[in-house]
Amino acid sequence: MSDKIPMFKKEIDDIPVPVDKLDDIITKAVQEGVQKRKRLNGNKLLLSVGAIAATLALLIGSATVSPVMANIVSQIPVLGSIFSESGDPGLKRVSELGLTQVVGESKTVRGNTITIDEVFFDGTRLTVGYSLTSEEPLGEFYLDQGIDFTIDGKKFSFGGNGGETEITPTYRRGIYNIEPSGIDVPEEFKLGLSFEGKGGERWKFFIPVKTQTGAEFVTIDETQQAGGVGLNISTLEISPVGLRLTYNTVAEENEFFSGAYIKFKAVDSSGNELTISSEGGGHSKNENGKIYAKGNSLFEPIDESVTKLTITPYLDLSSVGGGVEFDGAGNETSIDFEPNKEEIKFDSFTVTLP
Amino acid sequence: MVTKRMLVVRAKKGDAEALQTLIHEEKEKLYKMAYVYVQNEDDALEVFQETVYKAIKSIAKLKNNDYFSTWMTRILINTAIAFLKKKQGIVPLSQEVLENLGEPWHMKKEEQLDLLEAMDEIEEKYKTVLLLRFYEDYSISQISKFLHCPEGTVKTNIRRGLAALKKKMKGVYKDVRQNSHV
Repeated sequence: MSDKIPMFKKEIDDIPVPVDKLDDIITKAVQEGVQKRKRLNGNKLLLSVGAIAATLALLIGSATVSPVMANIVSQIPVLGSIFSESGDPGLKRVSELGLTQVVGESKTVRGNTITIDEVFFDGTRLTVGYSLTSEEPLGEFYLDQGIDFTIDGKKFSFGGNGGETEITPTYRRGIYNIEPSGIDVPEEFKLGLSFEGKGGERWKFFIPVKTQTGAEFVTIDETQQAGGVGLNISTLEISPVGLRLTYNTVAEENEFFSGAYIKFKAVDSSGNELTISSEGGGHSKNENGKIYAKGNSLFEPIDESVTKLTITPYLDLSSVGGGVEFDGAGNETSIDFEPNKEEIKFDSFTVTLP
Repeated sequence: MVTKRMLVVRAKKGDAEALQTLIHEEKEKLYKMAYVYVQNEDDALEVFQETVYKAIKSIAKLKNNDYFSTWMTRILINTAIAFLKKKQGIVPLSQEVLENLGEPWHMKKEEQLDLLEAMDEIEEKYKTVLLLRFYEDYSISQISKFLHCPEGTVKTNIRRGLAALKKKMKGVYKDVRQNSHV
């Protein structure tokens, strides 16, 4: 058929191709992709300020929902059950305490119904749970364009993770955790959610959200220096959703270091290690040859008998991958990254809880 | 000899080298398709980049190892359409820009457009079927499966797309339409 319209094919074939730029994109994306895939498996994400918006779309549909979520076997949609079955102990707790907002608003477009199940904002992390019911089975990339979020009608940058779990071929549940940045989030606001289906269908919701305040903040201000990496742990936030440590890092730009590699171990006074609920989001920026990052880690809620926590920062390089570089002649060279872990060691410190 | 299928299997297991080889094979075709949608190099590169990132993120989910190329094309088209929608939605023209626009853009209709310009002016649904049919050489049945829509709709959109192209190009494509048995 196409030989009858050679002009069509020829004109498109004649479009000049910036091969070098494409090659750069591919090399960079493959390297980053390998790292990101591993990092996402650890449920941690750190995004550079400029890349947040662009990377957002990439996170959609990623398989970062906890295994517990993936194991949901319930066939019956129960409103307000997505958080408690998400496998996140903090979300389960706030859901059970009635601190989340059970929404239950549904919209149907071309036979496919999206229901916003539950929403929670603790001042840092915004979590949205939804379900999608369809008349016909939907492909796995059906909502792959992701969700557009607005706060009082304004778009904003954010980092986060999320994904969907197929419960039956015509019923799936999704949960998204995002941390807005670059916007002052008021205590009460209207959350805009816009889902886009593969065929361009749109479901739009405007949900009034009230920030769940009442968190207690403990100032830590612990600063350490190890192997060229400066680390400051500024605060510990205690709330029903859990314990959130906020930290900053600074390192030389060319050190192949990212704040995302910093993790924390927390042990209570009885020697029990706390489970991480979420490695949290983060942002980094390069300035004057240095890379500055800010991030947080959320631990499971603790009971009131705990009075002290011993916290140990450590470098987790399991998310660092290698890559392959192609030169102009198409020859490939392996790129391996193996920094000196011995040099980057932090000390444990103790935090007394109020 | 390493077949494409084997490369796909390796890429799905996280082999960065295999994935890179696969994407290199597709890059020029993908870039050109992106260009048809967005009509400039910077935006085409952005769409290409986003497509590559999406592919890397989702490669493990690719169900049929023989369909890597089709799968990448699908991601590219979805990405390009989403890009255009987003761009249309967020780029307000300032008064200064409006005042300095000069000739109204529709004056161009008085001229004869070339194919790429004409493609830029037709609806996305026509653009997509024409690209798949006449650039990718997909059959009507393949396009129907690719776009999840009935074959009748595909045929109609190809006919209408060609008619729209013909109109924009002032008859240059007259023969195309007559010879295309869609």
